[in-house]
Amino acid sequence: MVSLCPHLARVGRCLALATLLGVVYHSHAADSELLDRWFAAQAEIKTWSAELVQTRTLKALKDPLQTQGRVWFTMPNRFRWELGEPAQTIALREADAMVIIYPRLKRAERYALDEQAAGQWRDALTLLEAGFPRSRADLEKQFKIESFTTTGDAAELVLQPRSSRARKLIAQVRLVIGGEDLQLRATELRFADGSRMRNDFSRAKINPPLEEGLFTAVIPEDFKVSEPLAGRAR
Amino acid sequence: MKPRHWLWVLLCVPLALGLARLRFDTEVLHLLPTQLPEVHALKLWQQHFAGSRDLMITLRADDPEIASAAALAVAQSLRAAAGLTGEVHWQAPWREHPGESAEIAAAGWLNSSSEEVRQLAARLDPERLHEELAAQREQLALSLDPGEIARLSYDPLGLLDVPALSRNAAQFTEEGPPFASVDGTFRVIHVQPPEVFSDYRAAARWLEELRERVAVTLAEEQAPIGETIRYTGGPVFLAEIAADMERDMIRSVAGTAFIVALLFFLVHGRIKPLLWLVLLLAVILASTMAAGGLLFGRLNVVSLGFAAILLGLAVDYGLVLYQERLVHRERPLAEVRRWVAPGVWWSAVTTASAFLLLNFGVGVVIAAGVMTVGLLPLIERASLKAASSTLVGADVRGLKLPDQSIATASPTAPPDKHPRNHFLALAFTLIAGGLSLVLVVRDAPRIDASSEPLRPVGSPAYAALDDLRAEIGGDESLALLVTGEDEQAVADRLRVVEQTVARLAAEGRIESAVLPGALWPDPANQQANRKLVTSLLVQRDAILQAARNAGFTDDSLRLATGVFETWRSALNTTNTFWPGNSVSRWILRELTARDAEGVIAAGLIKPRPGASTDAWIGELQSGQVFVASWERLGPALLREVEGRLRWVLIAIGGMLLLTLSATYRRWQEVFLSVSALAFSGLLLLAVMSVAGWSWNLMNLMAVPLLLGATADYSIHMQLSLRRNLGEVGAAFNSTGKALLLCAATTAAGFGSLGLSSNAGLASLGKVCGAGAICAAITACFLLPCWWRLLAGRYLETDQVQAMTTGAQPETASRIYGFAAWRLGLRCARWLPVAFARVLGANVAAAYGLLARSRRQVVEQNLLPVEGGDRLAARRTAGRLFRNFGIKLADLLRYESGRPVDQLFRELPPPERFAALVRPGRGAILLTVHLGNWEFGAPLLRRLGVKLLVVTLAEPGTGFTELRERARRQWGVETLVIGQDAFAFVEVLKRLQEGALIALLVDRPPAGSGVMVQLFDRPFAASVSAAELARASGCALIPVALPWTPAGYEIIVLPEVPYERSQLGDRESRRALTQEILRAFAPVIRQHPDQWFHFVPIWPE
Repeated sequence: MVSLCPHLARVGRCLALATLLGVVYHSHAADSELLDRWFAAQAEIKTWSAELVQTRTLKALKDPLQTQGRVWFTMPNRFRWELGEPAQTIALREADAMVIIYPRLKRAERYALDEQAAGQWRDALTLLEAGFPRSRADLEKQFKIESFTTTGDAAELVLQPRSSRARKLIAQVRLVIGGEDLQLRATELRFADGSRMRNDFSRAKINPPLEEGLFTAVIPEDFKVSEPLAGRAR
Repeated sequence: MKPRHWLWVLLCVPLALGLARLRFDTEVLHLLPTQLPEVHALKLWQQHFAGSRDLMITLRADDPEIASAAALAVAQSLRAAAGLTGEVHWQAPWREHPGESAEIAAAGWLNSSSEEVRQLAARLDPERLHEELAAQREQLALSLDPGEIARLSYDPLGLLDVPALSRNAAQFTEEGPPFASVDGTFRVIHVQPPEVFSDYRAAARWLEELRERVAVTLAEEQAPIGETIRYTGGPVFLAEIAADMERDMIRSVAGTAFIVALLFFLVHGRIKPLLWLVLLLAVILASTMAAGGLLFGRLNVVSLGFAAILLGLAVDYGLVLYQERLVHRERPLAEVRRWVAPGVWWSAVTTASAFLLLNFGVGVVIAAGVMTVGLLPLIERASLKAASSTLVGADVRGLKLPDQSIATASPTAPPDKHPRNHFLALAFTLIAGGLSLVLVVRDAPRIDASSEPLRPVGSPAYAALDDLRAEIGGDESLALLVTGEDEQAVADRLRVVEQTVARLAAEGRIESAVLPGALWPDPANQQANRKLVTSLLVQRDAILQAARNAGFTDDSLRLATGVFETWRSALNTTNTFWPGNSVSRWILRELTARDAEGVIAAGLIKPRPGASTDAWIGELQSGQVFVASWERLGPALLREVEGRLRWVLIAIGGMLLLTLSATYRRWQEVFLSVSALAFSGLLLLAVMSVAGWSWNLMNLMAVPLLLGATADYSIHMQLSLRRNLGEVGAAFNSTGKALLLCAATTAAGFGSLGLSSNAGLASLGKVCGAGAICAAITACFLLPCWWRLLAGRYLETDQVQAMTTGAQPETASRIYGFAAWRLGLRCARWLPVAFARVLGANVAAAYGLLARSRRQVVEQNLLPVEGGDRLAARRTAGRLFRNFGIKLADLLRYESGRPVDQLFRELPPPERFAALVRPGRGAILLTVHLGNWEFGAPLLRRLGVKLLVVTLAEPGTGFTELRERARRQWGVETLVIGQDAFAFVEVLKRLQEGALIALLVDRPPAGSGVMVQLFDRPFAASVSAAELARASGCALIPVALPWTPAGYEIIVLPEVPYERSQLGDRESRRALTQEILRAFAPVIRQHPDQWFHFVPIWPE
């Protein structure tokens, strides 16, 4: 008499494998669709604001550093980051320059965003702009998509900077997206030395009305303003 | 061996010494005036900085990652090759070894001011450090600058924030220059050679080996770099430029030698004389270089290049002599040499003078060489005469020459045989001159003051350097060098410089500056900071623990630990601390250097584009602070040259006029030579204008060369025209062809330089070649026509005779005339006696040196007195000219009316002379041309004795009257004989009345002399005294007034006895004349250097 158990076991394993593959396939397909939906949703975003908690886990420090802050964004690429309560660092992208204001230090730095912008400030833009791609093509111009996985109600997009110079500083960029509402929940930058900087967003608002003056640097007269890139020879 | 041969042998000793001492300097900058700060700065920069030691390998790729990987692979491969290289850097050393940055930071704090270190110590006080660290943590949390985040992470204590280094801090973290372009697609690998190359061949071999290794590495890496890899830097320049120069020289010398030989063979059909010429040239070159070695010890290689010019001039002289000999083969060789010698000599003097005045070392050597060459034809019976005789004589024997010689020369200028040719020449002069003038006025060749003409042409190394500058930048910055005897001196000066630079930046006069700052060791600060640093070391553990307590990991404290360790080792030594790890060495190599005179610090200053730099450079520069820039070198040299150029040109012009005047002694020919110079110069400028050539620092050296060459050609041609009595055809056949051959060889030689790989040398060759042709055209085809028009008709008979017979001048110098005498009287009226005598002696001595033919006459006249001893005669002749100058000075003083009594040694008693005369019987005071015979007149007048001077007419109009008036003021009467047939009657009448008459007896007018014996030689003496004695029975008293250091001595010889009745026949009168001369012989022998005869007095 032939036993059915091994046969059933084999069939069961195949079914399980097929189910798994199917699940995986379905997951990939679902993930890809989710990513496409997210890019489509990004295209609809004209303005965006959120509160954030920035956590910097540095190799040089035993414990992470956490800072509260806020961020505003308006198409195509204007943004305003404020870190600290009250704001200790304000980073603004104007039309042709980035301005960093340190209210406590009464100091402001202006960086022209032309072709001669030194490498590290292009890298700084990566820190501040990651998470606001206008389109997939826009994103893939700057990053290579390493993976997109869904876990629970969130999806994580893992990106690698295409620029070898950028990769020397930033090894990886991760975006955490809400699975249902497609909201950007967090960004995380992983640095080449193992340090990390993560922004967890909350109370995000899509297309809120924003004052134009929000993205214009207002520097008090008693602040010392410098242009660190101005005297730097090629 | 004859004495003169021993002289040549002895000459070999200093020549050998000179050659043994001789060394060559390959640095072109050493040619330039070192007192110019621009030159000194560039020398320092080239020697110690400017990457002149390092090789730079550049490569390019489309992807910066590929470029980076290729650069890394090449660097690793070169490092792995044992002994092939020194240090190799493909990126900033602190990026490769970040931990080594601690040493430079530690050194920066040691060199900072005590106040700054005090502030650091206060900041690191463990009691308060937690506040600082809390602030750092907060900044780490808030900063958006990735660089700042990185720095704060690994330098929480802020030890990299050395105040004087903060400006350069960005360079410690940033990618890019000087190892990569901003986009990363262009990379530079700095390779230090294993040794300092003194020999370009060693550099070339090393480069070859290195290139092979790089090619293999890139092939293994399969890097798509391909043809983009290039090599530049000091070793490449050394190998490339030296190899190019060697190739250029070989090509130039070989090519020139071939062309010269070919031309010579085409013209003369022989080669053997050329070989002898080459031998002579080798001797001349060796002598010149030996002279350079003796005088200077070290010659620049450019001087060696100028030796070619010397050879060209020597070739010219040899060819002229050779051609002249061919044409006049029937004449003795010595005579031909005598004809050519003045032209060669004066050409040599002209060229040598021009070079001497240029005040370059090379000029002095060339001048010496030219003078040596010029002297050769003047050396009689020299050993080289054998060679020159062989040169000009050997191949003349049996040589079938075309009928090109002049059989005889007519004593007058022949009629113009080729009026049509002269018309064409004149027409060409006008047309070519006019066209050239128009061209030059419209578009004169400009002066290119940049250093571009000094660069090699088509140099891969320079192309790579240009590429590197375009990608990496830095071209617009100027190097700032601060020198001093030790570190402290430089540190003190750097502080002042930093303040000035800061002020200039604040005023917007410069864009930026990078100075060594705290990287420069400051011994005083290091010593002052020892205590503070020691206290920090004591607190080291507490400081580090405070950082840990603030949450910083040990990783973040590695830099701090390194700084503390460096401080510890620095404090263990008492010497000035210099950091020494690989990062420090690389940085300090770019900023510091040492030489025999001390230490040097370097920085960079970036001028504001478009703004003038002269003012602020003037504020920065001092005796020990310099700003180096190749772009400033050209204008600085031109300013330096301009300032002196006017005076140099005036001096050269004056010297030229002087030498030409001494050569020709006729203003027409001087004018023609100057015109030839100007016309050929105009032609050359026109050629340069048409060809688009410009003047630059290199080819400006052609100016003195061409000046010398054109003067040479014009002198040779005009003297040849004189010799040939204006016969243009004959002059062209004998000299013109030689000059054309000279010009052709010169053009060939310089023309080959036109193919040089160095743009400057190439331009020099072109300008010199074209200039030589212009000079030859002017001298050979145009100048003869001009000469016929202006100078040819003024040939004087005696000059013609002298030219045709080779005889010496038989009349007095043209200087002896009314104008010169009147000028002399005016000067003598005011000048003190002593000064006038010194002036007169020196002027007469100079005349004696310059008037060679006149001096020869004097020597010939003195030979019998000196018993045939030529050397004694030559020496006596030299003294004679000086004594004549003194005599003239005293005579002019007397004739100007000034008293001369004090010039006599001793005045004789009046009775001595009063007894000579009595009524009915006069006396003749016989004298010879010795001492100051004219002074007898005022002396006798003072003694109350009236004198009648019998003299011949002076040359020219008014001169005789002038001298009569001068004597008359002293109460001396003059009777001029020679033109007046009744003068003899008058003299006789006076004698019969008892007068005292002075009469010269040793230079009779034509037809009034008799031959007597003097010094065992036939001598023509005046028979007038004997005639007058026969006619009047007067007394004959020989007197002489030679000059002695104590004053004029009056020598009154015994009366010459005679029997009047026995003077009836001529023979008796001849015998009486003989007695008279015999009486004078001892006096003449005693004072031969005062027996003044400047025309030939011996019949044989």
